[in-house]
Amino acid sequence: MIEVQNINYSINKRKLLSQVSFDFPSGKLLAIMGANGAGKSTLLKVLSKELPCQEGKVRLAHRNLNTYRSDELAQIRAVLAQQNTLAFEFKVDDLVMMGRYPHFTSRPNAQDRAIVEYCLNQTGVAHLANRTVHTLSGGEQQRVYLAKVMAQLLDYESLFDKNYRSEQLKYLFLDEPVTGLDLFHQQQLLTTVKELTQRGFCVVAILHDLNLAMQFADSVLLLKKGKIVDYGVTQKVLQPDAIHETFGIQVKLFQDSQLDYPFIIPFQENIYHKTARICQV
Amino acid sequence: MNNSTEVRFVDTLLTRNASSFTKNGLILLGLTLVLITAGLWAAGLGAVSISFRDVCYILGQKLGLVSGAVNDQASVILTVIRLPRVLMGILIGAVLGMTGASIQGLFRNPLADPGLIGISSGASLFAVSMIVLELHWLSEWQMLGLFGMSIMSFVGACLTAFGVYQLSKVEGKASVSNMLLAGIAINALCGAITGLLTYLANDAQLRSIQFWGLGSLGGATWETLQVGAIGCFLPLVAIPKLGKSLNAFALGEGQAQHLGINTKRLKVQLILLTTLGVGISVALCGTIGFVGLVIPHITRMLVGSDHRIVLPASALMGAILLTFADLISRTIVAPAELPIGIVTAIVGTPSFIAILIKNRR
Repeated sequence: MIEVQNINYSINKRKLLSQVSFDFPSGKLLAIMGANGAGKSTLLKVLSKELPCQEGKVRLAHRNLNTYRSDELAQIRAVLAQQNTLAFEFKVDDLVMMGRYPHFTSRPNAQDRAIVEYCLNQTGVAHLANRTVHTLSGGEQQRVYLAKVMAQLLDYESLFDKNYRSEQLKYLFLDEPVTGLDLFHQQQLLTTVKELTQRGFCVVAILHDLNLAMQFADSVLLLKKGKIVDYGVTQKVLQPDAIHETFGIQVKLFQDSQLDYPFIIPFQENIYHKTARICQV
Repeated sequence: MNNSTEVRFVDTLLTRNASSFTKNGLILLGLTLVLITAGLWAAGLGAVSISFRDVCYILGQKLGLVSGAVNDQASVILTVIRLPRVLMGILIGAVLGMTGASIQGLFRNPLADPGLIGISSGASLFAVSMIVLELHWLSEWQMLGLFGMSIMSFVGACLTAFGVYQLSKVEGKASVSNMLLAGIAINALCGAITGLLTYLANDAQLRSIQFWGLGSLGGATWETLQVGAIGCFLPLVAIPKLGKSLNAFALGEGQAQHLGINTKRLKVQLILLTTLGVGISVALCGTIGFVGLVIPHITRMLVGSDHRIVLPASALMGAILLTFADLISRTIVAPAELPIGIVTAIVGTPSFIAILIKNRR
């Protein structure tokens, strides 16, 4: 589980995070949502130790994040970055094998290779294994990078048993994982991620799409100007008032009889009035 | 996915990866054989030609493998003049090729070159200062002996590389993009001062500056070779061990850290090893351009981008290139010599362009 106590983070006296506290259990998917510049990426970076925790405490698996060595952390925590720039032309399976780097010293063993192949299959990129990453489309590349972070966290035993629970808690942090993906691949990627939570993974993702959060997230944390607006079970948090407070946008929730979650439609009379006035002038 | 398909994919993967390991091993073995053959062949060619068979025979006899009478003159030329020079070419070529690949990995840019962190310009500046300001007294120090010039240029290389590294620090961490900017600035400064010294130099000094600037293996003796071998041993052995970390570094510094790589330490190690290797090679043979930039490119086209194979393969390729380049440099205008930097560029550039054109199709 993740325990966050009163973290503050500021750069040049500008507070990016202020008094952020929450506990989040394992085996669940948490969506961090908020407007641009609300501090979502900063929070994710503090949780993944990419940025130091200036004030307050972050604990992963009941242990202070600061006490983890970076190679130790690499075995239990993976991060899917928002932007991936690869300096040289690596083959897809070589890139996914990099996810196993924390687990071997010089050469991968048969288990490492099996995990890589499994992840390539799970993310639907096995047929691209021998292509170079540069020749793939954006969506394909994103799935390859997802395969890499999965390979970093999965245990060999879990390839044959989807209910296998690792002795160590595993943490997956995703920074806008579906940005730029089409509808099908958004659903496919988040379904794959959701399956990881069933293996006991603790998944934290920055999402922008309220409906995707409604569909996939177990909990939602709303951020505004570095402060928590609301945090809790998805359907309780994603309500018109909290959404308006966070994004300044009015929404309506609709319930379909065949779905067990509502869908969210924004409506903003003011914007249309404003545009209409501007157009008349 | 059921169990039998899983077993099958594991099997196919095992064979695929096993074959990629054997493929890489075969490439390294092949390059080593080419290098040995090229070295023996090059050792036989020159003003006095010694056949390939005789070269092998003389070497065999020196090593005590075969006995019998050999041509004394050929034996002396081979062991005293040719062999140290050929071995020096192999050593320097290997260091330049490998450090080129490691610096490109560090800068995450295939256009980078060890010169970028100021090593070559600093060494040149100090060497040119020695020549123009006629600091012969330095060479006359007992301690420095014959190596006065080499030691000074090595010191110059280390000082500029250190300066670039210090300038690139932001909040105690070396930033790679700042290193690039600092390197360009320091290079420009060293270049300007070197230019000023060149402007002040007389004709004789100009000639030795020019020769030094374009590089030569002509000064190779068993003593200089020994110095070179001792200095280059560490980079040649230690850099290939950083291959895995450099692969992760290609993902970006942040992602490399997520994979548990200590990027701060990696950067320091790479800078130190590169400065040591290139500094010594510049000190002994002058600035030999082109190898560090282009050899890693050609190598990556041959073996892919995995640094675990690119680093050793670049060393072998660099050694092969420099062996041939030196052969041309000392035979084409014999008994005079063409600076080797000219040869590496004239021979290397067209072949590089040819490969680029072929790969574009």
